[in-house]
Amino acid sequence: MNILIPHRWLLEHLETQANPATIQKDVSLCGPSIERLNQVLGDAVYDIEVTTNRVDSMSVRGVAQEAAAILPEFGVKAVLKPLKLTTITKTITSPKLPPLDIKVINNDGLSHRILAIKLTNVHLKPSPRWLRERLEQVGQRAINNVIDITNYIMWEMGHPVHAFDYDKLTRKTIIVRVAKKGEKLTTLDHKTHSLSGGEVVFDDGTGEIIDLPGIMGTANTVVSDDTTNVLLWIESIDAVKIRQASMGMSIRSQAAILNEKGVDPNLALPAIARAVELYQAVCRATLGSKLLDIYPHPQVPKTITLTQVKLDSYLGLHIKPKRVAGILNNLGCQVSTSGQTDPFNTLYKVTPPSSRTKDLTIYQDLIEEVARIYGYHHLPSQVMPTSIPDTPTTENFDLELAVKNMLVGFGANEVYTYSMVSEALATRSGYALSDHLKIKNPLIDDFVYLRRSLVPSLMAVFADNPGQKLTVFEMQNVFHPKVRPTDLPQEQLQLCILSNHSYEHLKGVVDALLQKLYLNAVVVPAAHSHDHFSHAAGQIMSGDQVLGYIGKIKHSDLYAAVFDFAIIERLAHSHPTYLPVITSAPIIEDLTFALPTHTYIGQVISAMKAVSPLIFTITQKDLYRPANADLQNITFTLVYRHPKQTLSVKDIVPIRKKVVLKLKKVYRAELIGSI
Amino acid sequence: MYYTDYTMTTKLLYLTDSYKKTCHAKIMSLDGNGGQVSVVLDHTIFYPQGGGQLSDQGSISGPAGQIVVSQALFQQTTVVHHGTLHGTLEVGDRVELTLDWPLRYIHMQQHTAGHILDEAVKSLYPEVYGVSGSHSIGHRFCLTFSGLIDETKKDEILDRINEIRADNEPIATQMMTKADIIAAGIRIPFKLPENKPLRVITIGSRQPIPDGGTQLKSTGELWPVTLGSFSYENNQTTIHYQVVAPPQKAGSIPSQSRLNLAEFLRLNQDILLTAQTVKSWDTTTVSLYLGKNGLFNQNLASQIRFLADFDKREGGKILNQTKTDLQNLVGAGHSHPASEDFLDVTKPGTLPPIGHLHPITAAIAEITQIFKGIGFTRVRYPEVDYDHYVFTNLNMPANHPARDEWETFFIDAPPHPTKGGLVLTTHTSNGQVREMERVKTPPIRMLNLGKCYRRQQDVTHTAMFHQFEGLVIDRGITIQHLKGTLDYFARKFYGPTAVSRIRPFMFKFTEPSFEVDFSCTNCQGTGKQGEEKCRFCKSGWHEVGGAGMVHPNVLRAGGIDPEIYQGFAFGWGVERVYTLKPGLHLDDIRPLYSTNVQFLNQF
Repeated sequence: MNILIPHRWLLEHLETQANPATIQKDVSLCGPSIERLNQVLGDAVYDIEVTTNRVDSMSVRGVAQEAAAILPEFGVKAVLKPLKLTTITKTITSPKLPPLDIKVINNDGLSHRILAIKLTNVHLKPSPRWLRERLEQVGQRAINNVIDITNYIMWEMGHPVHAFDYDKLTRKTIIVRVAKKGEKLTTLDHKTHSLSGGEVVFDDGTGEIIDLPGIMGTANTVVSDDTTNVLLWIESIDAVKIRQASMGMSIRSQAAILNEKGVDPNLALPAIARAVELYQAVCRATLGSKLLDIYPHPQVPKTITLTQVKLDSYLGLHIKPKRVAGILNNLGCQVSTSGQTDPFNTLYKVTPPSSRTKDLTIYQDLIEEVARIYGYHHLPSQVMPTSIPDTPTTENFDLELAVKNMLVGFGANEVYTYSMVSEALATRSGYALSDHLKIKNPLIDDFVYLRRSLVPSLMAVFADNPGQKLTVFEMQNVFHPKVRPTDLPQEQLQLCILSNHSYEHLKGVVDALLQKLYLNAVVVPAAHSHDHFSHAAGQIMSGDQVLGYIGKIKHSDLYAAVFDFAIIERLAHSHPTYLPVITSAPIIEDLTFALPTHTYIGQVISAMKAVSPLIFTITQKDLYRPANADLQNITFTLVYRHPKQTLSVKDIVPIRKKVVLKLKKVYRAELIGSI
Repeated sequence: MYYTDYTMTTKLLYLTDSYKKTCHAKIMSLDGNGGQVSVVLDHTIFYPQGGGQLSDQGSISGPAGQIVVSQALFQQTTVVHHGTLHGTLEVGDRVELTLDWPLRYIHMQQHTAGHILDEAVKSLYPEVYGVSGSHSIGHRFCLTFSGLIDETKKDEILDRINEIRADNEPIATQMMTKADIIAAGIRIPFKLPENKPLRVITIGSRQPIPDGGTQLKSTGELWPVTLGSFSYENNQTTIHYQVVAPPQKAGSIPSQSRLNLAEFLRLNQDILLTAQTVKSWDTTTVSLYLGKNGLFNQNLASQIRFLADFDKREGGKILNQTKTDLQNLVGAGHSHPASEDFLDVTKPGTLPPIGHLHPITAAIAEITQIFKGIGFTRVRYPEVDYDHYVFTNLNMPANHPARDEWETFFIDAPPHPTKGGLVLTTHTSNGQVREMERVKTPPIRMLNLGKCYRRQQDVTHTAMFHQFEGLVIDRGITIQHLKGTLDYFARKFYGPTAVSRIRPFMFKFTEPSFEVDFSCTNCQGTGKQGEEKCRFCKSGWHEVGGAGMVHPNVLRAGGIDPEIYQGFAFGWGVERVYTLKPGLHLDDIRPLYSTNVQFLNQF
């Protein structure tokens, strides 16, 4: 998340001569990224991206702590100014003050810490200009001095603070409890929320909810224009509970954003002390009670052991122990070193500051701290000289690319379409909707199901490009639901080619592709219709393996070929089996047959070829089909070759006779002309 | 197809004896293409196509085979007989030639009728002379004369023709060269080829006329002639005429008024076949085939009307193809010097079909290649995966706020008992623990490249996108190695001046974690273009994604001891790194998945 920090406010916590541009440049390299420097109301305001683990940096003081550690590494003098809160802390905890007359019951220790103090004779009015401007600089709206101080403290110290109207707490009781499902509350912005149960709430003992702690105050106890007495309050609720409630109710207040990341409960005391100071100064408030502090299990950071060996092994170089300790100290850590006789074997015992209790827990965390402050830009750059693994997978990515390039070479356009499809597109796959993987939380209606076929998506490409003659293809996974609960869904790499040129065009592309893959394949008319295809479809077979399907798509002018790419990958060859080059001359002749129109020509050609091994190739040269005729004239060019000798016309006469006879018998084909 | 050296000259017997129906000859050359052969003989009675008369047909019979001759054509100074060979024939064989006499006789009648019409007009109107003639089988014979002849004169002309027939004048022949004819002051009525020995005929005592056709012996043998319409163009008159066979002879003459498609195709193939034997195309050979009175027009284009109406469309296609083929042959074999003097190098080329690889495929191929160069193994892991691999094993337990960084699509399916629910992978990092489980013992250098999904769709995000994930694990892997790998990639992908930098960041599955930037290639990392701020980058840098040293918890989840092995990982969007390519200027990634051909055809 991003936080805005004005430069002059920062200087109240950081002793430095550095200008904003220097601070931006140096801090960004070694700490939070200062993405922009804006001029607002006469001051430079840093716009800083702070990562979610660093809630300690989401405040003016937190950024000052980072800058104090980073700037000296660039030779810029910078020191974190100490907080001057000793006197005020002593005052508010003085036994001379009356105890707080509010009964606080912290059920099950739901709040790690509770701090509360009563302030009386509060003069509620608009905040002074300096306070209003500060809030404006950080993008907060000034309301009145009582509310503004709570926001100011949160921004400066990093701990949210709440102000109740003391007089609205008529029962003088605050019970910390878990909400039940269906309970209602109205937040201070007058929105009513129904609770789903499990949220931490405050109850005044009657069952009425009087606060949504850590997230937002409720309308029934909030400070209003006639407030004269304030109960200043800090709690520390479990971060996960805050997050669930805030997300569930969609209340994304700054307090919630901080609290859900686990604000340091040890920060609560200086925060409330600083707030009391401001109430005294700005609202002329007087202390109405002694500070109540319920803190059953104070947070104590864990000491971590770091070895020089590990540190150096991450950095690939050695940093002197004195420098390591210095960096960690500047970050607020307590460091004790041992084994200095051998600087390469130094042992560090590091206790992080309380604010980093959750963030610094293992030695790798400390390595990160040392490395970043030392400066990643100071580390050399080199490709690892370690051994190269020999662990290939079964996928043939090179072949996938080669096939795509071949199709492009044949004039096809590759497209990428979304894996997620609409209900309409899913239905077109030929599978029932219920046989699809469904997205539980779709973004839009177009992305609801995971597709089982690329065909409907590619059909849409033609609708998107009306009037264009196209051949398009896509090679992507399709998703088949899992068979057993312990299976992953099956992801099948599918190659799909669609064309609106003609069947011959598509078939030509497919034939060329398979030829380039040294795959011997034929199309066998399918006995039944398959998925999207009309009855006019066939299986692309190589031996007894089905490579895919080809045909016309139902109710369209589109032709499609669909392949299971895994099978192609398995059967494709990278090279042919060499056959000796035939040098003897071929005999080439054309034969024209009148054939019934519903004849599978591919089968006719196969049948002709089967007649004699001397028939080297057969190609269809010409086709003439008069409208509404039962017969078509097809001219085939036959090339006869003998591997060793030159054939004479005499040699082919018997073959030609057999061809003509076979076609007549099997396909009712008549030769045009005489033998 | 084999080329033949036609150096011999065929003796043309029909020039001296048009009535010779058979003769013997020797095969000088024989070329075959399957059953189709082309034969040259030492002499022939077959009249080859040209000079206003169609080719003869018939047969050539030898000791072991017979050729059914469909056409005879002039080829330089020889006559090539094309036809279908049955059996075998060889060069040197003695063969017997037999004409299809009824066909020839009709040709003779028609041809002679033209001459008589010419003579009749000339004798009536001495100021006009014949310009050209068109003869083909059965229909639409005509002669064109210079000057205008009124159609009312039709009967007058017919009467004169019948007078000439009645006079029964002898028709005599004589051999001459073109030069001799011109020298003799004989008017040349028809366009005449240079390469034929020319013959001159004389009808009765009239002026001699150059002619290479076959003639009747006398004008009295001519059948009755009828005249059709007169037409006028460019101050010329075209007169159509026909000969009418006497009824008693009709049965003996084969009808040529109908042609089937297969026959027509054969005619086309025959002409193409001979055209393929032409060694070099010069003006004469080109006009022989493609000229106004060339073989294409005379023998093919004019024949299409003999096809049945329902065949005409297909016939037209065949004809167009033949013309294209002939033109290609001429173009390919053109050796005329003029063609070497001029080549229009600016004319538009014939484009092969151009397909387009999708830019993402191109980017993936490039990325794969780059990492292959430093020993990375590319892998593919599930796009629909267990929560276990996508989050939990990456040090992100359930309900961890870090999961919010990924807007996750969940699959509506019962969860796996130990591996949790199914999600659409939000990043390729699910490959990290999967790769450790696959390889088991380091070294690991993985490149996991695939599709990822997040619940967002705007200018810089699409709900489906691609990431590539690098994972390197071994003993002694340091941050320096990560930097080295990043710099290597930057240089290869963006050019030799590109560099990378890493800044602190946070990911749960790496410690330390980094944000990776590449220097801007538009401003060379300065952030400035002249005085202006560079509009492509943030102060000279582009953020591309995350990286870090693999978190010990992730290594443990993959069964690798973090006290022995260390490693780094990085994961970036393919779209992101690709759109930063210098000069691409693609600032909206949504069109990548829009399938608009206008967009895709640019790549």
